[in-house]
Amino acid sequence: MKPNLIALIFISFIISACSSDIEQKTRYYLLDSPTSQSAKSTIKPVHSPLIIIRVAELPKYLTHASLVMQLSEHQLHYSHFHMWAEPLSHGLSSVIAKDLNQLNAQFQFSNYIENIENVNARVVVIHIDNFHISHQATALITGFYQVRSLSGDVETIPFDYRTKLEQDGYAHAVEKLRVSAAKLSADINQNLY
Amino acid sequence: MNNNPPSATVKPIKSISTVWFIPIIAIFIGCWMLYYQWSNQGPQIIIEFATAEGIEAGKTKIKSRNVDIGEVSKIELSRNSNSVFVTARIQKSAEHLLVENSQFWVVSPQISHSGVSGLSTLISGVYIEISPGDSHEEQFEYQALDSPPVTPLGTPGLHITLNSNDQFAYAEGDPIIYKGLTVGQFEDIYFNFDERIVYYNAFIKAPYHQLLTTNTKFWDVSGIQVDLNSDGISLKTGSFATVLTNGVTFGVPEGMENGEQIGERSYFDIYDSYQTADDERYRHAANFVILVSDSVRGLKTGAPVEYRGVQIGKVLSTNFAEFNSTTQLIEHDYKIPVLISIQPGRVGLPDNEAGVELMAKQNIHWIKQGLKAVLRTGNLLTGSLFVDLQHYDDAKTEEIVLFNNYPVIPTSSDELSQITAKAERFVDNLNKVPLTSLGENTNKLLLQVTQTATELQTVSQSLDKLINQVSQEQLSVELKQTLQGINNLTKDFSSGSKSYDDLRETLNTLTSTMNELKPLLNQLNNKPNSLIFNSGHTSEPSPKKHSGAN
Repeated sequence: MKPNLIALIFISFIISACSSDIEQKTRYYLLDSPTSQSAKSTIKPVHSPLIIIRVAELPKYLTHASLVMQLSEHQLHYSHFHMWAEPLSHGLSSVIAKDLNQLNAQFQFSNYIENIENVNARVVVIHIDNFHISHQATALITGFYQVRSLSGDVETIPFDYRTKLEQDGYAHAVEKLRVSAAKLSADINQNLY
Repeated sequence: MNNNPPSATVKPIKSISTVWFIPIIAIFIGCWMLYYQWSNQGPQIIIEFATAEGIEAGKTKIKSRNVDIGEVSKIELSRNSNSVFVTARIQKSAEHLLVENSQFWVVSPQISHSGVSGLSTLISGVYIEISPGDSHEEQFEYQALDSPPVTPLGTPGLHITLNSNDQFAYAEGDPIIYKGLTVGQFEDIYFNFDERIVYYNAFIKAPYHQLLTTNTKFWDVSGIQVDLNSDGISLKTGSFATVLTNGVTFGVPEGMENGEQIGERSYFDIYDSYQTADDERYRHAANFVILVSDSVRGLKTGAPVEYRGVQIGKVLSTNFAEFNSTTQLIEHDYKIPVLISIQPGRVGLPDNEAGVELMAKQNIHWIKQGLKAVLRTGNLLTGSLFVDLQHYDDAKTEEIVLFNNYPVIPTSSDELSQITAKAERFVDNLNKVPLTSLGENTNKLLLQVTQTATELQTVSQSLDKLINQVSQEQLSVELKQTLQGINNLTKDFSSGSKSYDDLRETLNTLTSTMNELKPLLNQLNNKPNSLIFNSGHTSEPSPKKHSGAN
């Protein structure tokens, strides 16, 4: 009995020595924060024309849940411990719709409509090429969006917005990515008529 | 004082002066030398040549086996200027060579198919060669040979005479071959104008002369012999020398007895080939005639007559008969008469009159039993024909027809001709068929068949519809049931349904679980033992603030 006890204590000691006190926890981020300013809903007049905000299929590297950081000209890094809490396409369309609702009182913007084929609404389709933290310490968003005018013409407008990081860390980077998305929303608002 | 001189006393000489001994001795020596010369010199001979070309008096030697035995002393033209008389002195030691049948000839450079000879005379000059004879009678006048003898006198062997009435042109020195060896030569040629035969004297040297027997046959092996016959193509040559010149060979035909030994100057015929020589061993034959209705082109004299593949005779001649009547017209077609011989020696019967008689009786008996002759193609390349005797059970006859006193063997066409004839008859019959009316009738029949087929098709379509209706009703019930089942299933999983929502939720849960597992999987991927030995340090890069930011 006594030797067995000693052996058990020894093994426990060894295992505990191998363990580490420091733990790296996985963190999840929302682009469309419910507590941000744009999250507040705005009341639009009745019969405001509806414009649907749709984000087209994202590039493959943005379909992962991990936050993406560019390490050099051609090297990307997928964070192991910093994840998006929701699909990025949904998050982007949601924040842009909310921003536009804040900026534009003329139209009503939405990123999701049930049975959209039966609704008579204009659609703004956003094609995202890049949405990550660059090696130059900027949060960038690039691509182009298509706006159908009243005459039926389709206008294609490119965009490229980069916001400098003012602090270290992923959390700050997400904030700046949100700022870049807001710049895009302002751009879209400029071209809606 | 006395003034008269004293008188001499004359005394007569009593003996001869010794000084005379010198000329006497000289004379004696001279006489002795003359006698010696006279007693030791050989006889003088006179040789008549056609020309004295190369011969010089006092220089040209007479030799025997390259040993000097004499010298030419004088050369004179004959009285009629047709020849030259060469006088020569022969050494005494060689006197015994001067006999009746000794031969003399001039040795000069010669080039022939057998080789080059006498080259030494280019330097030393020509000389006269002697071939001593075997006679015992002395002779001192000779007629020189125009060329060296083919066979030196005294050479052991046998002289024979060969006959040829064919277009051979053998020359002196042409070889006689035996199994590739040159065993003899042609010596000289004689043409008999009366008999129109060329006789060749030939010599077979020992010991090969022992090969010659009464059954020996000679045949020509000059050049390259190409033989195209019913057996095919054969190419034969003798020796290399005979390829360039002419030559003969000899032997006892296969299967024949050797025969008895022969003597000098035996006669032999030269045949044109071994086959011809072999055929000659059968001296007796029974002759028959075949009357051919087909073409005899390709049937040559000497073509084989076969019985079940075995040669039993040969064709002696084709179309040999003459018209008996010059005034009467031939009623039907003219059948070509072909004379054939059937040799009893070829089938094991005795090669004599008794064998011939037996052979004739046998064949006549078989003719009555249905024996017929057919001309067959022996060689497709050359088109040569041969006569084939076959039994036909349906061709018995009692009567034996004679043609020019020869029994006639009935003929039959060969299979190829029969097939050709049948084909021709078939084509004629085909031409007689009324194809036009047949065609019209066939058209009418086809129209009726088409109408019937159309009606049948209509009937079958009606039947199909009836059958389909029945089966469709059954099928539709089952289909309906199946579709209802599928419908119910899709309803359960359609959008908005509980199953759909559950499925979607499950997928979402799986997705989020995978997302949560991703870091762990990445960590394990980088450091598999990190589950146990986790240092706590992460090497993940982190965003840094911009250098221009405050």
